[in-house]
Amino acid sequence: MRLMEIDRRHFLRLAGMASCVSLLPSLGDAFEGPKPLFLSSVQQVDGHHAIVITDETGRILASFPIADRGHGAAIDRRLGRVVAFARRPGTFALAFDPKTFRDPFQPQSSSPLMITAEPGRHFYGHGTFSPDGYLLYTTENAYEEGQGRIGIYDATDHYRRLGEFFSGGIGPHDMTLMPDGRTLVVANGGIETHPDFDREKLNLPTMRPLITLIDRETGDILEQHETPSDLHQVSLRHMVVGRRGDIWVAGQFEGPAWETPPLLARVRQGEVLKLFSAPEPDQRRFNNYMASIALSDDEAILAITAPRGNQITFWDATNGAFRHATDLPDGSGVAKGGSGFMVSSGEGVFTTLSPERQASFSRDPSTDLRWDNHLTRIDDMIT
Amino acid sequence: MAKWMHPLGKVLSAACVIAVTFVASVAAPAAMADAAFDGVAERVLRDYLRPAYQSLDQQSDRMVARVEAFCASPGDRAAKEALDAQFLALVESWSRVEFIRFGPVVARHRYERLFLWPDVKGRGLRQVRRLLAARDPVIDDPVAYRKKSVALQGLPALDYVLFDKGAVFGAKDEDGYRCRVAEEIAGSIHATARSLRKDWEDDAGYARLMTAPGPDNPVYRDEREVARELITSLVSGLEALRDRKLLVALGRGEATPKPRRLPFRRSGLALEALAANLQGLGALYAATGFDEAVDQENEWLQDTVPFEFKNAERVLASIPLSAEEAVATPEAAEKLRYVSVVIGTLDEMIGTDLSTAIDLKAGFNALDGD
Repeated sequence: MRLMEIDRRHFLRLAGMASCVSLLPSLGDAFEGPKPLFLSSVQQVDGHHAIVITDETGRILASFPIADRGHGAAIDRRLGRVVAFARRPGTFALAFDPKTFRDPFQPQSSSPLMITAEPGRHFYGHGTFSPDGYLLYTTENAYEEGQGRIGIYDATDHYRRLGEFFSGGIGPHDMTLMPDGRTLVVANGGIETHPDFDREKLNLPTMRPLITLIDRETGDILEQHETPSDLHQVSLRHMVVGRRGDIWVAGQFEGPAWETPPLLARVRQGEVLKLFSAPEPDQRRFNNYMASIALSDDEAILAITAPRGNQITFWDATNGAFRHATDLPDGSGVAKGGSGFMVSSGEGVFTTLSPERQASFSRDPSTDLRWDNHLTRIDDMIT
Repeated sequence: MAKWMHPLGKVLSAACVIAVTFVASVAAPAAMADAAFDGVAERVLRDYLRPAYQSLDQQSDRMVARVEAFCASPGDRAAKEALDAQFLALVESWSRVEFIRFGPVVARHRYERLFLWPDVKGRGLRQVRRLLAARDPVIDDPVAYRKKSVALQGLPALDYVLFDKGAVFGAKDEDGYRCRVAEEIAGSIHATARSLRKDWEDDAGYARLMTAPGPDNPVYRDEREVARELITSLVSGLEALRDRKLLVALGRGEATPKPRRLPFRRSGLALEALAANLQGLGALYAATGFDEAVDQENEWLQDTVPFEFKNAERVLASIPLSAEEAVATPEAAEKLRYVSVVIGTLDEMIGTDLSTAIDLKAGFNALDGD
């Protein structure tokens, strides 16, 4: 595809600016220390985008420029590698060693390895490694077919694409592994898009979001979970999975703004999907849009960001009950922190938030970066 | 005016150095008195939303009559001309509100019911063709018909049934079946347009949500949220017009031009529809009165934005060709390219300059579906 070639050159030009990789001398050491470390995509003051590694204080330990907005990241905890994805409908992902931002297969190289989507496919911005680190799975759009796919890449051989299987639905977004290490869980958001029409949603009247469990060794669909038909416009997009296999899903409602359907779902293998709502007037404050979701270290509490409603919300992860919400304008990234949750915002806030404490934030940013949707904890890699 | 720009920003960008932890000295955006948004909902309802949806209702009502008159005597030249003229009026009245994606039009899939576009891989069209081939008695039962796919209820379906090259009427249209399908579609469009008009005119309905924001309002907590809804409509409308229509038709970069992707190509009204999109966006912009609230530094917007809207409309109107011809004619294609640049300028002025000036920039993470 011609367009893709142009994008690719453009991307390489930026990615080739090796001198732009900036590392603090202490980055390698930082991985040895006890501090939590996080990876996020950001927009800098100059308008350019970058992938950064930061500690709990928001101090930038390393940064790598990217041509366009990034989104999520897959972490190979066993071998200590990262794949960071472009925001949908992106066709590129970068694989690198987070200590050097270099191609893990060519330590002498000066830049990450670029993974390019197959013709007729684009990435959705999320993926996951197999527990042994040998394979990378990515959510992809087979846009001519209007179907979701899971791409399979050989992480031991330059991320060569090995094949793909059906994602179970349309618009697969977030994907993660179940505790058994074999079952993939995919949030098929249900919304069809085509790169010719950018991010325009093409099937809102008929959309059907599904949480799909897939045997990653065979591609077999093991279970499909969906919302009741009157809630078919609650797009299920981001997930966190607990150690016992509870799948918590944050959704975004595509219907009229005056309706306030539940946006939090819990899926358990062999059980019917269950939805949870906050009591009014809290529920309507989320503006029908939940972004990132994380579980506390003890798995007692869920934190979910609602950037359109400018809220960080906390829920009881034992029963799905709403606890409280805290104001944070444009708050989006959330991850398990050293104590409580680490949250970030598009207005520069990067802070630890204890779910026990009601806090509010001024509009004054604590960093000069616009933090993008997702924050990924990366210090628990075995390296 | 404070923007997302640290004083060091320019220096840093040149050197590609990353800023390492500093508490930013970014000034909070000037606290614009929210009084700037006072009365914006009332103005937009009075000067744009209600008249625009009223027009859509009227034009769709007349469309039903014109289709019926045409079908009564398909060979009658005057009836055909009246039909063509009325379809233009209907397309224009729809295109003036096409970018409104809030309020009554998002209930019960009314938007898609009127305008299923883009129609990826012609899936909607395929259903229309199937209906035409099927000689389905459902076309004589309006209630049952309206329960069928949204692809059979809207303006793109009518564009195909009435104006496709292969469309035949009169003696060649056995039992007048194609004509009855056209009547049913026109009736369906009118039914939707009528309920939209009624819902907008209801003072206790969505209009009330816009004019009375507050903590208990399920949609708008304050005037700022109403204002943001309107700015978002303007910005996404301009971007869709440029990125999903003009640049797709022209071919972005080295991509193949695809003028047939534009809506209303069968009736040859694709460029007229684009011009009406611009008119509608300009009318909404004027109704908001947002630029009256800017400080001295941004007063230039008050003249420049309306001027550029007119400029783009004028250039579009000066192309006496169909979209397909225009794209294939260097001079006309150059004009379309120019219009796309002007739209980009308008996008920048409204989405960045004005939004920053009145502190209405959309959140970085508030974008759809991520």
